[in-house]
Amino acid sequence: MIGRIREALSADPRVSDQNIEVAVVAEKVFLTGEVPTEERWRAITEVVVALLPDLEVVNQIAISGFPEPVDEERLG
Amino acid sequence: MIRIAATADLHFGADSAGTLRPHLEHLSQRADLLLLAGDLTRRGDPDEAAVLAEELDGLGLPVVAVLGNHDYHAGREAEVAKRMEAIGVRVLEGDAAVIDVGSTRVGVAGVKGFGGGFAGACATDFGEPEIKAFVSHTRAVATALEAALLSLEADVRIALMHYAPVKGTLLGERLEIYPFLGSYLLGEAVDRAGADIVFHGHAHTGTEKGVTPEGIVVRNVAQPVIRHAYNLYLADAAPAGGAGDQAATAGASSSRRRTARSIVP
Repeated sequence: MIGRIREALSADPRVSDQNIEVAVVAEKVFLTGEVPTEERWRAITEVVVALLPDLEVVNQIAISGFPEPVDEERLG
Repeated sequence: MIRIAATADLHFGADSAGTLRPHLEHLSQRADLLLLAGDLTRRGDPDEAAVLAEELDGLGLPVVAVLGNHDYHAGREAEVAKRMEAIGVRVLEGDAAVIDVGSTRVGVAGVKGFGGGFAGACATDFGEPEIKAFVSHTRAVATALEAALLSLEADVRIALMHYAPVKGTLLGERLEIYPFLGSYLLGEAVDRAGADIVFHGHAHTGTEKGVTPEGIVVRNVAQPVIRHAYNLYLADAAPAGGAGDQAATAGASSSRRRTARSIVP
């Protein structure tokens, strides 16, 4: 089942994400990881609900926003 | 001293407009060039690349990129590259660019790279045609990378790729997927040709810092790893016959000082 969910997330053009972690526990699908936008977050839930309408989907994915770096690394 | 900004795995889609540019407004004051180590888009749609191009347009510093596996998904990678090149981003695949930063020549050799795994757990050129094709592609891109590095006539030499050249920067990823995250052949190519630093992406849950077997610095700049819009690195320019040459250990011929095409901001 986890494989099917990951395939669906990868195939859906609104998501196309291979880095979402999926776990299925007691009729619940838990999703974790990070996506850059709220639209993609919503689409992920929709994809999994459409695939497995009888299971509860718990979307714990974070919406990431990466700031400018404060420091730099000196190499060498 | 050269100031390098590097990032990877931006995975831009139509919904990404406005997410990156606010973090780049001061970039030209902080860096001399920006490197993008692949996966510019979500699924290789040129329209997604256009959204990213809009964010990068007019930054005021040179931008050099390679494509990643996501950028090949739609089979329209040439169009993706074209969208980026339309705003002056130099997209490398088996070739190199030289950027003049003051009196310092910064050379970047780039390839997408590919998988195959690492010593002790890697695919070999044996068996079915599909496996041979897989390994053959990795060998081809590694060979192209080595040739591109050897072509560089520069004071600072950078290898830019999407896939990982060493397993050190994969720490945190599941062992089972290492063969899909990179190949030792890329690392060997870098070690033979010599470089001052290697940047890659692709490994979202990996580690930022690593080294090749010969000790060349490797940085995994996938955004989920560096946790910033980009990271900044300061590199000293090696004088002719200096550190760069020392890094180019046995096997690097004098041909590696051939001139590559120059680009300007």
